[in-house]
Amino acid sequence: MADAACLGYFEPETIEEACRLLSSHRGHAKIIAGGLSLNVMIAQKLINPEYLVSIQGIKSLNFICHEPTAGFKIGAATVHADIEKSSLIKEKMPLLSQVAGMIGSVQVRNRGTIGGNLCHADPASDLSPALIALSAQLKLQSSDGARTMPIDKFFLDYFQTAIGEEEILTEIKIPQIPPLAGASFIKFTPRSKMDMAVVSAAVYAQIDAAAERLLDVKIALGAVGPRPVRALKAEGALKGQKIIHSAIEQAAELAREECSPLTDAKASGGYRKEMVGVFVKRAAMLALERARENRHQAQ
Amino acid sequence: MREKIELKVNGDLYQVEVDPRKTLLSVLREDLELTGAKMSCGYGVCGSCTVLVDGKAVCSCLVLATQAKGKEIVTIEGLSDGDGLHPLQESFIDHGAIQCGYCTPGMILSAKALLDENPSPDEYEIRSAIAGNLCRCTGYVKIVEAIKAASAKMVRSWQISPSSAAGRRKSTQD
Repeated sequence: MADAACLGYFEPETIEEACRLLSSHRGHAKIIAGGLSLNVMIAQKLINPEYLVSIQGIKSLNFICHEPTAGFKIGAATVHADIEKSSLIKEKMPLLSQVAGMIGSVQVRNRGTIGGNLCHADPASDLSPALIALSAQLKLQSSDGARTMPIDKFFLDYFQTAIGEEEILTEIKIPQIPPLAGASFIKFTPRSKMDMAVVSAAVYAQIDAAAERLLDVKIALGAVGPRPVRALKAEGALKGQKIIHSAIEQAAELAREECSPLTDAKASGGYRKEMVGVFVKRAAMLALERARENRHQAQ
Repeated sequence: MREKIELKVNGDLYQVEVDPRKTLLSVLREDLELTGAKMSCGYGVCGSCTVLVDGKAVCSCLVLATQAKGKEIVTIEGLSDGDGLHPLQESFIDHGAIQCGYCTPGMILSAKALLDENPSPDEYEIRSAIAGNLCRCTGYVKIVEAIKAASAKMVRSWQISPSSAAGRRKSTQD
């Protein structure tokens, strides 16, 4: 598949063993889970790791746990198909199941992992903006210990994240969406189910008990630049405001101004910018609708 | 480096010696001469390399052969029993769902994975299940009809209701 010789392929049984292998082959080893992103990068000769450390079989990286207040903890090597089909996730955080179900095809979802998707950091990733809106935290582990990082800080550039060379993403923590809050993710794919997003928007909205004002809001955009964009000005314009159509329109306008998408084979930068406005509005309305529904359930 | 691995394909055990970075697709086609799975896009988009691993449809062009150790691999060659075709294969022929035939092995395996989990899918579920299998010839209509017809035939032959829990277990014909 690639030019340089493969010098070693390891199947550690624990996270600690995997970390040790990364350290001892520093700079020459890559983690492989489902292998969807990694094998493509190798085939396109973008990377050439002499050592592969497979985390596919590490049981402590493959789990879905839920606690009523803390929310979900998901092992980084959990495949999208398991997240999509999990009855626990469908019950407690259906948006997550929906987003996982939007990724690629059945074949992709049977192999691709949540951790692999995030670490690959494709600018058009669906999980990235959705998990930013959901305020996810990432646990990174190395032989030196573990650290937790808010997902906002994780994505640096095209296919580049803040993960250290000797670190493994082990867990994704997603806080429970409280009553009076709702979240949405909309992915714009002009052609087919299989497409990467041309533009995507994720919104988290928390309303007051009277459902009149927006107490908290997060807006994350995908596929509009080298990494997901938090539309901070748009958020600022909405926080504390009355929930009226003109406020949402204004926020959508601001979100448009906050990104400078490039032109590529799928769409022009101008079209993408236009679509940001459309989809932020739609995602915001959907998140608010869900927040209102949660209010009725909480009562 | 090369390592010796054992793969279970269509119920048979094979010993092969591979570079760890060799894909399952390459091993199937080159070492085992099971050429039903096709090499086309090479990056998991077209689905012509689809095989079943532990019952799940995957793109074998992106599975390292060594990652498939200890798993049950099913290729299109494993569906027929001598001259006896699987109901899906028969249905594809009967419904004109095959033109050039290039997408067919992958398409049928994706359909089999669907029916093993969901014996009576509706059209939307069928189209979602084959969304990762591209066909340049047929326009998919006949393929969807063939899968629907096969599901009806398979459910009838099990002589149980489509919606019963028992119907969600594996068919005796695979």
